[in-house]
Amino acid sequence: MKTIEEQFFAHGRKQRTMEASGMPSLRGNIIEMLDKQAVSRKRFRIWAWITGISAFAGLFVFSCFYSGETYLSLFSWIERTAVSLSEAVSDTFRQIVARMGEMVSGFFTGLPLPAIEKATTEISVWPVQIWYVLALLLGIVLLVGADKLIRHKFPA
Amino acid sequence: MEDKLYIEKALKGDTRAYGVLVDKYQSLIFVLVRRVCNNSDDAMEISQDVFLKAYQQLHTFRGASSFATWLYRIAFNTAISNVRKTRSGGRNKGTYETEIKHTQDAWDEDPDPEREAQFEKLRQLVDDLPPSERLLIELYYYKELKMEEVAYISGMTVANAKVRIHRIRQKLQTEMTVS
Repeated sequence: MKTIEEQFFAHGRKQRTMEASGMPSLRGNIIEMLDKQAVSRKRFRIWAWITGISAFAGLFVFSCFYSGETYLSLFSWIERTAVSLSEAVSDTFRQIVARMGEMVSGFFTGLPLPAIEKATTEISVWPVQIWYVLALLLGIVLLVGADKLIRHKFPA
Repeated sequence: MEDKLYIEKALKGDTRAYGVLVDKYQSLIFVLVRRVCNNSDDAMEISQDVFLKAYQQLHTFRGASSFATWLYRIAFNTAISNVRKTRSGGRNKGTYETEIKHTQDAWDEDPDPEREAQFEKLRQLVDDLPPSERLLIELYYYKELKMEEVAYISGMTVANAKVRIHRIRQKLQTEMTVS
């Protein structure tokens, strides 16, 4: 025997089934709206790119025309600074690598592992550019890893 | 499983695949939002909004719950914010009563006036509840969802949802016995 409450909700469910069965399909409307939204989004993106590029190009031409010499001196200063900075950094790296190489070869001196010793000696004379690339790759891997982790933990 | 396939297609921009999901779930969403709307047209409009929002947020669906539950959550929030915006949580009772009469005729072979009177009273009490409580009743008693699902949809903890529903139930019981 059903209670009044059970009967009430069962009746309500039937009534809702009837109500929903008379509902017209939303499918066509929604597909049309989504397609329109996609088109307008695409159009907006294209216009944004065109506007951005033209503005940048315009600004570039304008500034070259009116302050070309200032820019030239600015760029040559940047170049000089970058070169001296790069030399300083590469010197420091070379020293660190040489020091590390000495330490590692000193550590393995007593061990009968000529292969490892050979490898460390080999690594210690690598040019600094290789260390740059390795550091860059490590940085990229760390960033991608952190990004994946954050996205997984906190989905948008 | 089938939903997942359509969701993947929709994520790639296939709006027709999304249309299949709309067809499948529109009645569920309509029935839920209808509980806090003045009329069927408003409910249709909100249901449409729900599906548009769901499409925009589809990439956030991880499959931790069923797609229906995830849609219910969007529908719940959309319906509540719509009520807040329009400040009209009440229903156009005249229209609704006509609909009820119509469906009663269709379902009841043997109408019982005393039972009908009790039903009407209880229906009135449920209608007079605040919109969020009406939606909780809808999800738990009419849609017969699990408490965990109700909690997820309404953005509450399970314990909080249990307490809320228990209080609503007590309130309805008291009102029914008082008169």
